[in-house]
Amino acid sequence: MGKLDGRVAIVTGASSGIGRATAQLFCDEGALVVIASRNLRRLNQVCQEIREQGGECIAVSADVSKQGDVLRMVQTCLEQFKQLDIVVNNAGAITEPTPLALMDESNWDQLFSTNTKSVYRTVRAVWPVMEKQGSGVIVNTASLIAFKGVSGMAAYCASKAAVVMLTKVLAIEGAPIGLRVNCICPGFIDTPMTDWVGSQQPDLDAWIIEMHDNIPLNRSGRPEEVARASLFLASDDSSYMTGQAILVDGGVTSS
Amino acid sequence: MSNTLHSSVPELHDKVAIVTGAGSGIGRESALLFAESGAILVIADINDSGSETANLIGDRARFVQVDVADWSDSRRLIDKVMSEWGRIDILFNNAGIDLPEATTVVETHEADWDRIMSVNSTGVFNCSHHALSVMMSQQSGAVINTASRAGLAATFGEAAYCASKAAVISLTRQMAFDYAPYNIRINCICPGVMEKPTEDRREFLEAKFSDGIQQRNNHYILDNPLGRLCTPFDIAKAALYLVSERSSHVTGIALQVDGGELLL
Repeated sequence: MGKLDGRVAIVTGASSGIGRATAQLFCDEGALVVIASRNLRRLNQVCQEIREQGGECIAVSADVSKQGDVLRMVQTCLEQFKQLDIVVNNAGAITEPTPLALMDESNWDQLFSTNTKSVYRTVRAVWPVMEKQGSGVIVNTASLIAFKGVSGMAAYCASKAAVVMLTKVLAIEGAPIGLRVNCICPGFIDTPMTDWVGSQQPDLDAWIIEMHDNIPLNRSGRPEEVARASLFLASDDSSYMTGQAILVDGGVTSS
Repeated sequence: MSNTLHSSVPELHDKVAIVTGAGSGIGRESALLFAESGAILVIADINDSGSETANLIGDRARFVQVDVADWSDSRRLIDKVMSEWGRIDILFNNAGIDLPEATTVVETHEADWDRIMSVNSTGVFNCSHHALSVMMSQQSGAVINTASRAGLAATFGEAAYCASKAAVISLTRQMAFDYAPYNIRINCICPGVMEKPTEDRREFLEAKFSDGIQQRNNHYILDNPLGRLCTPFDIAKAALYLVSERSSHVTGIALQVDGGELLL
């Protein structure tokens, strides 16, 4: 018996990394999952992998920085599965390290649109559905660096810190209508996004060693380890939790 | 690596778990859930009620009467577990007490302050001290501690209790940091206001609220976003997440299981 039997979930940014692992785990736990991403080719691969493992999922090409795409994503979910119980707002972007004073305004806006305003867009689309059901769970993806500053990452840090606060306010607004809203804060995780950040470093090996040295557990996390925190928050295991941020960071924020 | 969690092997299969304060409430519910998840249970409690929890579980549980505030008594607990099972996979430092009534700093007697600190804070230190040396040689282990929403925010007239629980949160972070290199994860849970108040406080509450505990509960429910108070099972589920492989990259956190009561 799975922890999400009979539940319908949407996972954004599901073509790779944490989103992909989350979609796979949710399907494993019995959920019917709509996976969304801008990259339809990779998304279809993930969809196929899930189906081969006996899971049920559909792929929707969607850019969370476009309200129309988000509405279509939710509409497709309702047409296919008739309900919507869980939304994992996972899609996110990162920019190359730039001192804030030198950052282009368009880069700032684009990052906030994908990382922060995307939560607003999804909430606008799913709230009426969940309110009508009288139940629903939203899991947002913030980051360890919502709590720790990183030089050159002002926009990314701020966009993720905003997600933590959005989560708290949405939790307060959603509680009276039966919704729970929490977020996860991944640390240094083995994903294509982390690989890309690494590729921007002058010395990749030295950078990886330095990053691991900063993690008490002395290793990067696997996408599945983050997915399991989302599963905890999406399932009834956390039925008395709302407005919380769960760190999955190998202990970085303990010091 | 497969994502599948619900394989035929239960997630705490044959793990040796110690739960202190397991004679009642959160400790008892957690012990039952850990046992259901395949663990071998050491039920530690200062009261005889621990034997009832052990009996409920059956063959795979043993009751050890222990005062965690006592250094050598907590040593004896760990020694006993080692002589019987030879390993410790999970330590849940849950034993805690409250004063019979809420008191401010000025109203708190020194002996009461010392007693609260000795159980709630020093008790965590004592059991962790003895168990961590075992876990270090195993190069594995998970420790969780019961802190409280009281460790995060002031509560009227709860000076000693709040301070003792804030110490648990701080000690959790410190131990997580120090023992991560040994592959030992250490986290704590901050329960919200419990639906059923501790026995330590029953008399006081019954005197304060003419309509009994329900009146006290109604008062807290008004301020709780999810509109209900915390149950031991709510905490047991969070405890299972934190001691299982599901949280393998999580250490040093304080998990608030409180219906969102500190958001407002």
